[in-house]
Formats: sequence, C-alpha cells, structure tokens
Amino acid sequence: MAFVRKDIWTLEPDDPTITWYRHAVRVMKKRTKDPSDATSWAYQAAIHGIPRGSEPLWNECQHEQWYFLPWHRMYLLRFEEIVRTVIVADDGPEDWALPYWNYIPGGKEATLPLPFRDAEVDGSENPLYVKERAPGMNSGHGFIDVDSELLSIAMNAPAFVGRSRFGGGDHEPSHHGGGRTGLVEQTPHNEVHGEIGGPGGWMNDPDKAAKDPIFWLHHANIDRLWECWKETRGHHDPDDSGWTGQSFELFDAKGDPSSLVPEAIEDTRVLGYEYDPTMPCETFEPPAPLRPSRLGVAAEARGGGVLHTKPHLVGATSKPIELVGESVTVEIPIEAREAGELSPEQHVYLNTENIEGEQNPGTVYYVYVDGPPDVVSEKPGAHLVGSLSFFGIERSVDPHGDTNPHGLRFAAEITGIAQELAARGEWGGHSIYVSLKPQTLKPTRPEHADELEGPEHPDRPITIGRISVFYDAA
Amino acid sequence: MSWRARLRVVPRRLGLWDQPTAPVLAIVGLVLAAWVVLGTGSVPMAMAMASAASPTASVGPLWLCDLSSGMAMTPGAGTGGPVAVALAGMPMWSLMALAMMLPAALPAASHVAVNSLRRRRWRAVSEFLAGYLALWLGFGAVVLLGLAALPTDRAVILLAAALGVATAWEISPAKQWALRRCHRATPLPPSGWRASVGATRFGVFHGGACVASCWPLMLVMAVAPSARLAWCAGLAGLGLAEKLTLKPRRRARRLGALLGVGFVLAAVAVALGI
Repeated sequence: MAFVRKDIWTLEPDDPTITWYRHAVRVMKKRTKDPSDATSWAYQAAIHGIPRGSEPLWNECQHEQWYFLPWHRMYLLRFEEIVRTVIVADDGPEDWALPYWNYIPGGKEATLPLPFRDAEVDGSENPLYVKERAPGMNSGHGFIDVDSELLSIAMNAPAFVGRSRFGGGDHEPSHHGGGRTGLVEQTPHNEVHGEIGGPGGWMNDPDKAAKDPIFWLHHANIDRLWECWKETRGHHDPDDSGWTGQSFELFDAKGDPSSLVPEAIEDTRVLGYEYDPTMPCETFEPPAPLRPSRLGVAAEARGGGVLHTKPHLVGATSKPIELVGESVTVEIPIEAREAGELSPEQHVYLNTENIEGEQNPGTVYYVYVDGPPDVVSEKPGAHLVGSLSFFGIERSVDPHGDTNPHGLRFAAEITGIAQELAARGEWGGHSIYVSLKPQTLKPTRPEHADELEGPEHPDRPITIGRISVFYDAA
Repeated sequence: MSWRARLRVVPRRLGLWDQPTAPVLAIVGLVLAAWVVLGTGSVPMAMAMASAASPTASVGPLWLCDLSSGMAMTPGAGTGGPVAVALAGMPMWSLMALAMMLPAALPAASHVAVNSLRRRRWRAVSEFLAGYLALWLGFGAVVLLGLAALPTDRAVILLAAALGVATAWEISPAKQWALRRCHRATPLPPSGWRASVGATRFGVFHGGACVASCWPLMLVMAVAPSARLAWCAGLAGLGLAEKLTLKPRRRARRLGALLGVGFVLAAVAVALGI
C-alpha cells in the first residue's frame, strides 16, 4: 500500500487526514512522563534542535550542506511512522499519511491552513495551534509570497551539488552546517521558516521549529519539491559515495534507534509513499538572463554532480554591512587583472559571507545585482539573483550540542549578468552594485498591512562580513 | 561512509583537498622542515658546535624539542639573568611553535588564501601567519620567563602541576569557548591597506583563540622532563585532533581524561619520591 501525501488545501477541515493528525499530536504532546520516550512530541522536536540538555539524537538537524534534503526526508519518514502508529492504535485510518502545505501558488493557499489557526477546536485546546507565529499568520491576514523567479532558479538548478546548486555543497555531516546552502533550502525553505515564525516565533528558530505542527507540512512540501526537481531530464541525486553512503540514525515507531543512508531513501515509492499523483508538479520556466552557459551545464552533467573546481576571487566589499530591516546598496569593484577575459565556461558567483547575528529577525532580503547606474539600460533592480534569510543564525556562532560554530554564507549565480556586462565592456575594472531589499509577509487585503508590522522596528541587527564575487570553472 | 570518503576527511579539514593553494602547501613544507630539525637535533647540535664552552658529549637526543636545553645551549646564556635565559630559549620555542602549532592553523590559512585575490595570496597568508605566530611567540616569552625563574630540580612536581592544570582546563567551559573561537573567521577586505589589516587581524584573532585553547598543552610540553620529542609529537597531535574534530566537546573530554591519567601517574611519582 502506498501512502499518499496530499495537499492540505485540497482537504476539508474535517478530513480524517487532518482530524487524526490533530489527535496524534495531542496524544504525543501528553507523553511527558518519560523524558526519554523518543515518540513524544517534545522528543521528536528536540531531534531537530533544542536550547538546553542532551538526550540521544538531539540536535541532529542537517543544514547548509548536501545532507539537508536526505536527512529531513528520513526525519519526516520516521515521524510519519510514529504518528501513524498512534493513529492506528486508536482505530484511525491505517493509510494515514502526512499532508503537505503548498504555499507556492500564493494568495489564499499561502495563508496558514485553517486547522492550524484557532487556539480552540470543538471547545477544547487545539494542539495544532501555536501562539508563537508571525503577526498575521494565525489570523490568516498575511500570506507568504515566494518569488516565482527565485523558485525558478532553484528548480532549474542544473546539478544537486555545488555552490549555488539545488541540494547544497559537498560537506561533512554537521548540525548547523558550515557548508553551502542549497538553492531549495534557501528558497522556499528558509524564507518560509522566517515568514511563518516572524521575530521571536518558533518556526524561525531551529531549536523550536519542529514544536510547531506546521513544521512537518512545510517540510513535506520541500520533500515534494525534491521529487519535482528530479522529474526534469538531467536532474539526478549525487552518486558520490560520501553522500549516498552517509548513515544517519533516528528513532523508529517503536522508539528504537535505526539507521538510514541517502541511497536507501532516494526513491519515495521504495519507502512506501508518494505525493498526490492528481496534483502535478508546477512548471518553472528558466529565467533567461541568469541561465548558466550551456557549456558549463554540460560539463557539470558529465561530472556526475560533484565539482572539483578552483574558485578565485575577483572583487569584494571592504567593510562589513549591517542590516536592520531597511534596503541597502553596496558597490563591489571588479578587479580588472583578476577578472581578465570572461570565458564562456566560467561561472560567476556572488557570495555573502560571515553573516552573524544574535536573533533571526524573520526578515528575508532579496538580492539584486546591477551594473554601473549610468550604463545599465534597464531599470535598477532588474536582476533578482537570490535571497538572504537567517534561519539558524542564533546557533551558527553559538551552537547547542557538540559541534563547531561558523558564520552563515550564501551564494547566488550571476554568470548571465557578468556576461552581459562583459559584452558591453563594463565588467573588469568597473563596479557592480548589490542591493538587499527586505521582504516580509504580504497582507491579503490592504487594510491588514498594519497588523503585519512586527513588534520590533528596526530589526535586531544582522552583520554581513563581506559580499564577494568569485569565478569558478564548471 | 566509504573508505574513499573517509580517506579524504583529514586532508579536507586541513584545507589540503578541495583547493590546495601554493602558500598553504608552503606551510606544510615549513612544518615538515621544522620537524626534521627537531627530530634530528641539527639546531642544538650546531649551536653546541659553535659554543666552545659546552661539552659536545652531552649533545644527543635529550636536546631535541627541549626548551631548557635550548636555553642552556645558547652561548653566554649562563651569565645573564632570567630575561637573558628566557631570550636564549626563544629560537627553540619558535621552532617548536612552527612544528607544533602551524598544522592547526592550516584550515584558517587555507581560508585566507582562497578568499584573497590571487595576486595577494602569498602576502595575505604571510600577514595572517605573522599575526598568528606573534601570539604564540608572546606566549612563549611568558612561559620562558616562568621557566627561568622556577627551580629545575623539581621536574616531576612541575610536570604533575602542569598536567593537573591541563586536565582542569580541558574539561572546563572556558576551553570550549576558546575552541569555538578557533572556528570563527573575521572578514577579509580584498585590497589595499584594509586587506593587510584584515589578514593580520584574523591571524591575531585566530592565534589568540588557539593560545587560549591550547596553552596548558604547551605548558606540559615545556616542563616535560624526558622523552621530549615524543611529548612534542603527542601533544601537537592531540591539539590538532581537537581542532579538526566535528565533536569538540567529546574530544576535549577524552583528552582531559588522558591528561588526568598522566596527572595521577605524575602525582604518584612525586609521592613516591621518584
């Protein structure tokens, strides 16, 4: 029997998928007597991260590297088994599967699904409700506006592994990474975490995120997008043994530890589940100006996904940048001698490095790149290349659990823009201008705009150590 | 993980796998050369030859990686006060710092090289190393002054005390705080005086974190009474292992336990009057 994960917006509020999820969450939340019970709600959430204390397999979530997708698939799979066991034990449907929340279409479907909004349901406490969400989330007055161009960049990424690629950089397993964040981890994953949680909210903080029952539906959507990415010809998972054979331990439905490797979880049908086949994957047209050169893509495809390249720096900012919720524009001089002639095989990346801050403000920044103002014919801000969001920033420099700290970093490909500027003779020896513009929840109606204003303005500061431009051969 | 993946773990963490740059390979060469000199005793030997006052008969394995010998061997050292004696030990300390503490700086040096403009890589890495080594040499001067003032006939008591301090430090939260700073980076501006300041500043930051993390290990090494080359190699290896691990707390506890055993053994030796 294949378990079918369905889009929650296609289900009625009294659908058994929802009512039994609510029941199981309530049961798991009551499992508080034995702190070592791995099937309790608190324990399952602590596997992702927890501020204090340590039990087996706590603080294990994998971010900012190529294990992000497989580890979270394993985490969801085991969680779903535990929930289903609770449901079946209480005479619920044996084919129960975790629903997913697809916020990509925007509008109503990008507002919080109805069963999660109210503090009470049928006269008693609603276990799916969490107070600690962004203003406008629980009221349904704000929606998550995931930019279609950024999604398109992620979903059209030519390879799984690498700088600014779909699944993340080749890096050893580590809680809170230190490697390279994959495009899909950034958009929509990190952005949606930030926008649901808002300043101080649970979804905004990896130590608390999995306590919010919507966490699991958000991650089911990310898991679905992985499947969608693989539907495109030429897209495939890494075949590097460092990825396929890396084992991770989690608890099964009986509460016993059991290991899985990415190789064993690549095919969802082998695992016994699928995403609702009546809801086909969205199609994402490749954004033309950013398309990496054909040569580069072909070379990547031949390489089987893992790139061993020699990146080199061609320009960077000289001073740190502080973000407090306002737009910022910085100039990056491109060094003529280092930039040289831009060959067609060359990939060009914009790196945002050493990002530090005490708390994730929940604000997402869109990153735009332009040439010198006097030579760019298009309107400024024409080239959206990526986004910055700060999920996990609290723990990156001060991690809980036994792991090393690091500053966050993100990379975006700007090959198309660089080639355009080079063709005009405005690349080496000239400057590019990088603008960071804040994005938050959008109001469903203009009159709701005030409600979405966060309690804190300006934001708690985030510092970017440097923004740099790198060449990297494909 | 496959054996192939395992094989690349250490070189990767050292910054020698994904993008080995020329300045980083040069550091590897420098480290190897320092170990050859320490391991063959060619420097103390040469110093002994040059000093007519010293009996060449006593030049042997005992001189290797040995601060007190380094201090005593320098011509004229015996005639000065503690400062002169300490100064005389600096060449040996510098050599030991290169051999023992440069390997732990490889990942950070690699970070500097990759994140600098290609034409500035040698310069930036040199500036980083200058900052990093300045901290170690400053610490060395303090240790040598202390050694010059301490009685040399109570070697085992000194060793027991150093092992006790090192054990306590390894299991303390302060050690974890310091070790965490070893994994942080400060921004590197690309060019001009800001680039020089940035690279040097990162070296000082990194050196400070490493001295704070590893100072008791160097203290143990400084007072180890015999088999000094083995102490040097062992302690350098342990310090490097702490830097490269993904589980820093567990590694530090294990190292603390090891040092604790050493402390107990040394304390027993003191009690028995060995």
